[in-house]
Order: sequence, then C-alpha cells, then structure tokens
Amino acid sequence: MDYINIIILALFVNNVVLVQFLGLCPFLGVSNKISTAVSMGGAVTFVMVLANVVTYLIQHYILLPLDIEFMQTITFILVIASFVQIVEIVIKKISPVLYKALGIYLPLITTNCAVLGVAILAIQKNYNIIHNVVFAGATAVGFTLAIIIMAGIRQQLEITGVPKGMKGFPISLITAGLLSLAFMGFAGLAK
Amino acid sequence: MYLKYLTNGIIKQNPTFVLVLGVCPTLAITTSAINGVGMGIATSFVLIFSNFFISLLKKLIPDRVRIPAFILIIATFVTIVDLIMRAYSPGLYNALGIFIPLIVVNCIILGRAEIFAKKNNVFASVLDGLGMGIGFTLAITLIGCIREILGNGSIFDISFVPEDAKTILIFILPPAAFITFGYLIALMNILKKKYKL
Amino acid sequence: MQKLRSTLKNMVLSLTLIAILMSVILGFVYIKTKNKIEKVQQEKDLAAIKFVLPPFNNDPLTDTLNRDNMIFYQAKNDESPVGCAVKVTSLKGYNGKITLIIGFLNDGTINNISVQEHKETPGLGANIKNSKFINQFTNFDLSNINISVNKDGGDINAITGATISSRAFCDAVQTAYSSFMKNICKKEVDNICSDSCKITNVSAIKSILPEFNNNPLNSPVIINGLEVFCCKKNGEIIGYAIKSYSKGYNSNIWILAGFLPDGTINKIMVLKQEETQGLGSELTSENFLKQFTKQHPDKFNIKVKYDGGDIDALSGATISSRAFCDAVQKAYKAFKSINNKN
Repeated sequence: MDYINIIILALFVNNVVLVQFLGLCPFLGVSNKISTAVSMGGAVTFVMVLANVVTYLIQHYILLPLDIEFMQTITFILVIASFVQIVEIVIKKISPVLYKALGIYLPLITTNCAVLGVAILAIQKNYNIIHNVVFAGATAVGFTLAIIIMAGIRQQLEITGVPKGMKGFPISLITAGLLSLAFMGFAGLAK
Repeated sequence: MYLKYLTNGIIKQNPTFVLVLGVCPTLAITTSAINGVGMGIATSFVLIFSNFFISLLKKLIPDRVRIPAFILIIATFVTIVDLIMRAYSPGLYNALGIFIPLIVVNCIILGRAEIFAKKNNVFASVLDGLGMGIGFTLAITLIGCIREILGNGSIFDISFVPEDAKTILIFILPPAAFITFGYLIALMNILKKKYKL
Repeated sequence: MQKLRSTLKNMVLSLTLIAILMSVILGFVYIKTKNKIEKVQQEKDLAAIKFVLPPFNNDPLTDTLNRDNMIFYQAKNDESPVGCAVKVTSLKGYNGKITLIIGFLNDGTINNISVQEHKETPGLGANIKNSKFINQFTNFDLSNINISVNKDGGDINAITGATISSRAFCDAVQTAYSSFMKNICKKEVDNICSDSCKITNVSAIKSILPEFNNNPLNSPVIINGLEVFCCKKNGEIIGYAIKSYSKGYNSNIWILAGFLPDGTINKIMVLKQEETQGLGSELTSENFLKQFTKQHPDKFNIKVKYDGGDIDALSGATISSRAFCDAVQKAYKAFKSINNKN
C-alpha cells in the first residue's frame, strides 16, 4: 500500500516538473512535439531509475561508511553523466533515427536537474532500495506525463494566434503555470 | 573592450530573461527577495571560479572528456559553496535547501563553460562569469521581490501589511512562479525590441 | 600550445589530474569548515533551549539523555533542575520532517515550543510557528487535554488549510510528552481510565455517523467501562458512537466506532495509537479502516484472518491489528447492551 502512496505522490501531488520545479530545461526545450516528448520521457525514465539505484548503493556502501558525505554531489553527478553517456551510445547503435531526433537533448539529460534532484531527494527521505526504485520510476513517469501534456498543448498553440510578445517562452511558461495550478488540485490525494 | 564581457551578462544576454537558462532554481527559489540574492551570490561564486579554472585548464582538457571534466570542476565549487554556507549562513542554507547541490546542473554554468570559458582567456572568462552572475542575481531578485510583495506582503522580510492581512498566497506557490516568469520574459522581449538593446 | 588530442592516454591523464586538483581544494575547504559547521548546529540548539525554558546556568548540551529516539537537554540552575528541553522530530509533516524543541517544566507543563526545522507550505503549514497555534499547548496540565486536532476528536484547533502539518505537530508533542513523563517524571501517562482521548469536540462523531442534530456530548453513557454517545435526529436515534480501546503492541489503541441502530458499523476512526511507525501505525490508513465500514459484526467475523476471521491484518502488524479488532468487538458488545435496553 505504501507503494501506491509513493506512486500517486510522485505522479500527481508532487509532480517533479509542475510542483517541484525540477527538470524544467528539457521540459521547456523538448515539449514542442509529442513524439520527441515521448522519447525524451523514455530516456529520462531509464536514466533516472538506474541512476537512483547506483546512487543509493554509493550512499550506503561508500559515502556513509567512510564518512565522506560531502562528496555526495560530485559522485552522484559523475554517475549520472556516465549513465547518460551509456544511454547515448546504446541509442546510437539501436536506433540512429531516434538518436538524431533527440539531438542535443540527450546529453542534456545530464544537466536535467530532475535526475540529480530525485537522487538526492530519495536519500533525504531515507527510502530503502525498493521504495527508491518505485519513487524514481514514478517520478520519471510523472515527468513524461507532464512533458507529453505540454507537448500536446504547444502543438495546439502553434496553430492558434498568440500575441507577438508572448510567442515562444512566455506563452509556454504561462501554460505551464496553468498546468501547475491544475495539478495543485491533486493535493490531499495521498499522504 | 573587456567591459563588454562584463555588461553582456547583465542585459543583452541576461541568462534568465534572454538566454532562458537555469530555469529550475529561478522558479523554485524566488519565493522571497532575500532568497533570490542568496542564490544569486552562491551561483555567481561557482560561475566565476568554474569559468576561471576551465579557462585556465582549457588546453589540458581533451575534447571528448570535456563534459565530465567541466562537471568535476563545477561540482567541486558547488560543494565548497555548500560547506561555506552551512558554516557561515545556516539560515540561508536551510532556505535554499536542495537547490544548492543543484547549482551543479544549473544550465547557466555548464552553458557558459561550453560557449565561453573553453574558448577565451582567463581574465575574459572571469568577467563573463561575473557579468552573468550579476545578471542572474538581479533577475531572480526581481522575481523574488514581486512574488514576495504580492504573496507575503513584505520585501526583504520587512512586512508592510498588518499581520492578519490577506495576501495573494498563490504567488508563493508554483503556478504563479511560472506565470510571473512568463510575463517578465514577454516584457523583456517588448522592451528589447522597443529600445533595440 | 595546441589543445590536447583526445587519445585515451590523454583523456585519462587529464581527468585524473583535474580530479586530484579538485579533491585537494575541496578537502582543504572541508577541513576548514568542519568545526564551524558543528558549532553552528550547537549554537542553534542552545539558542532554542534558552528560548523554550526559564533561565538556567548549566550547559544543557553536555547534560543530555537519549531516550526513545529523542534528545533530552536538562537545564539546571545551581544544580536544581529547571526543566527539560526535548528535541523531537515528526516525519508526518506535509512536506517532510518537522523538528521541534519543546521546553518542559518539572511538572510536565510546556513552557514554550520552538520549531527548528520544517518544510511546510509558507502561509499554511508554516504557521505552526505562530504563537497563536503554539499557545494551545503551553502553560497548562497536558494530562487533561487530548493532544490531537479537532478532526481527530482532540482539543487542538488545527491551522485552517493545514490539517496535516497541525497533526504532525501534535504527534510530535504527544510523543515528547509521553516520553518526558515516562523518563523524567517517571509517571505512566497512558491510563486505562477513559479520561484519555477525552472527546470534547462533536466533529469527530459527525465524521463517523450520518447526520444528527442533538448534542451527544451532553449525556454520554458508560457501558462496560466504555463511553457511548447516543446520536439523534429530531428525537429519533440514528446511531451510537462508542469509544473503545485495547492493548496494542506498544500501548492502548483508542478508537471511536459508529454503529447504526441495526448494529451495522457505519465507520470507525482511530483516536489514539502509539504503534510502530510504518507498521502498526497504519491502523489509521483508509485501506485498513474501510474493511469495517458497513459491515455487521453478526455477519462479518471481526477477527484477523490468522485467527479465523474476515479482517486482513496489516502486514507485519498482527498484534496491532488484533488489538484493533478486539476494541471493535468490545464496542459492539457495549452497543448490544444499550440497544437491548432501548
């Protein structure tokens, strides 16, 4: 039952992008087409779940026993950077088309604050390994959900008339704000 | 000549309103003006030092490992900021919370390293870091002021409404952060066009 | 000098060099700041202790007791105890943990409370720092009040729109109080007497029964040692709210069970429990409680499946679940008594 709680919290109530402000760069950058949004979401999910497992292991078997917790930021980000590199190589081999579609945004997953943020958050919440995986997975799905909704709306906005000064980032941000407002309605859904 | 590197980051290529980089902390931190200043200073510190070292060591960093190398350097200085804050400014440290380690992935820092520091000399890089830092700090302090005034009836923690007054609470919460930011960028766009900045 | 080519040797060398350089710089800063960071935390704690207790002249940071996962800082004035500051953390905050430093005087009353750490929403949960909220806990005998929010049948007015934060706060205070009384005053606070969990607010009863318009608190009846509240709408009985208890894993579990006149359980709520966090404490979860809703004890065996009944016990908390069922059965027995009389 705990797991359902974690999932609902991560997907809706504490949605990583719309409520916790993590992962905004790719969110604003990749959400203009639904297809790229889905791919980005998939890649992020893969990296996030794996990175969370490894960072958990590092925290509990290296950093804590050796009392070098202040190395947390450095080790975590290096782990994430490596994973992204691996994902990049794998995608390039398996699907060059997808690789090209994601373009610059693939290496940018490294700087996706959501990945590092979720790793650190999971440590702060003291999750065990299974909760950690569920948390990471649900958060990543929440990210994907938000980015797909955003892509859908932006595709629609392309064909409607937007005032000149608002074109581009301003209207995207305001859309995100309204989405965030909507997600606030989920508050209290789980505790 | 070098002055241009400094002023570039403040208006013409303001990282927040023009380049739209470093959005995550911009929205999360700006619930009050003082948070904006604090985060701005912390980020500037990292920006200046990372730009300095990356520019200094640029000839020693082979191209294929530049991202991990940059990240190593940036992460070191973020941890230094973290430790210094914890020791000398715990109130601010608690307020900024998880966003201090997240300075590592602040796209501004990696972005400037990639676009500027790896190609320019040390002095110019330091100035660029300083300029971008100032621009970022000014921007997020502005957003912080707006959200604090409307959402909390205070500015820099000095209240100007009676204790029981009803403020527009939503401004402290996520939705209004997005919306305020959006409108400010639009405003910046219009001003730039009008005054050909 | 041309930039280094990306040969494997160069890449490895370069990264290693940078890693070493950075580690040296970082290690240096770490050593320099380590002591200061510890000192800062200690100063913060001391300031809070001074704030929540009357004046003292020892160093409570060196005069500590560690009990039940809490730190007791003992303050003395010339060797005679002035009070005790307890640092307690509740993980049940809306956004994370809430840490309090509570100043208890020798007789168990709270002098003051300082909120050390919290991540609650500004303007809502963050208002647990307000003196208006904190004053509900200070300066009177806590054994006479029910330290939980009105919605849970208690005496504390939660902050509007911040029930979860208020609940967590109460949870922390209750935990600290029980432990303080047990360890420092050497008095067991949880007594069998039904003064514990005294229901002073009718909203708890409203939440477990259909609509009624009398005031059931006016004339509670005691049956088999349990308090029974009779609820009527326009003179007709629409149900009974019965306060029952049973010994759980750690201490007594108190429940409020709402029965309809035909004996069906309308809804049950937990008034108080001190079971293990994450296991027995899940008695309060919707998933567990809903098993009882709309069931009739004559048709539905209110025992855990392990004992041959129909209730799914909480995993890892059979004893707590058993105690809960026992409390419900006691309540039903009391119901049958009073129903027969009518």
